[in-house]
Amino acid sequence: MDKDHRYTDEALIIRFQQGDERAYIELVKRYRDRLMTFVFRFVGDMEQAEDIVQDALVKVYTHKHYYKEIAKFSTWVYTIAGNLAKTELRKRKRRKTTLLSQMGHEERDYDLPAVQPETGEAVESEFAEVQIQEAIQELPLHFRTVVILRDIQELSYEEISRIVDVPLGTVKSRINRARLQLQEALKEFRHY
Amino acid sequence: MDRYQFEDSISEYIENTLTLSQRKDFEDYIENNPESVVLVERVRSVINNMQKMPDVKTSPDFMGQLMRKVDVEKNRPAQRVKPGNTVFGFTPLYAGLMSVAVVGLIMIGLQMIPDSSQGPTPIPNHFTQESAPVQSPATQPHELRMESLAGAEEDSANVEVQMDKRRSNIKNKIRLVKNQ
Repeated sequence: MDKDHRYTDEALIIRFQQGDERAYIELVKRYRDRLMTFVFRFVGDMEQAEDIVQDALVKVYTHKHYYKEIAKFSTWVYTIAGNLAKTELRKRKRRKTTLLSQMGHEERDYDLPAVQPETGEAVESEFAEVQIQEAIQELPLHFRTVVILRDIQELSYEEISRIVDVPLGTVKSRINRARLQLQEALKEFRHY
Repeated sequence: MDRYQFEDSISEYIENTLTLSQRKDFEDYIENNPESVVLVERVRSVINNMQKMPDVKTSPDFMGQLMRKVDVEKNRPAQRVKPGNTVFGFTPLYAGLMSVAVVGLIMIGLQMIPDSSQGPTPIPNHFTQESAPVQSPATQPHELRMESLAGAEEDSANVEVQMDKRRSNIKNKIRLVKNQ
């Protein structure tokens, strides 16, 4: 399958549309970890993230003919994954609301698991990651999507604009606002 | 540059996408507002730390699970409708419902067709009965028109009698009030 590295993503999806299933496998190999990172940072749960990535890739399989050559494959697949992740979060929010409404008042208080940093650079870095991840989860969805795509996935503003289907200026403004909110949430930690 | 413009420009300043004049304005602002330098550095730190976050890997069984899901999706249409159990490509239920609907439409259509053996197209009774009250006076028979005119005259005569009675009542009341 090494020879498939010669092909661009767009060439692979076209080969797949023509019936070459190996092209699909190659696309999955190229995108599974990228999508996993994006979706995990978005939903904050490994199992759910993996399910969502699988569902997105199944959609690529079943809806392959919906892809049109005018767009980049990455734009298309990130859009699918992002939409599925948002749907999952909305479902989760509804479930949470229902569960909370079923609880008594005394049951509603809960403690977040304590994250105690130990010594060592690796642990500190892991601690920082956990703090950032928690701060990202606090962002509104429209800020969260764009800041992950920009600062973690390192996509261009133009591609993000196409993925979220929002004007370029709005994307830039949302990313800036998201970063300001993140620094506000993280300023008590010495890393920031 | 004010505070809002400064905050709006932080990312562009860090990513070096401001024009020369905008950059100069920005730097003038942070020179005059030393606390704003801290904010710029914090945002820069957030960006750097996010970029350093490790990639998240899928589990070793990811591919196997994915292919199982793909197989389920591939087989789904075949499971829903077996090719042998279709009528012109429709499921037996839909085919049955559509047949009933078609037969019903044909029956209604047949009832609407006039019987040609009884000469010119007869008007069904219920149409004539319902439309009689809304016939315009011009199309009504002469006797009917005369009857309705006589009725109208009678009505207007009754109204005049009632008005006379009311007038006399009012006059009587006025007289009574004057006498008191």
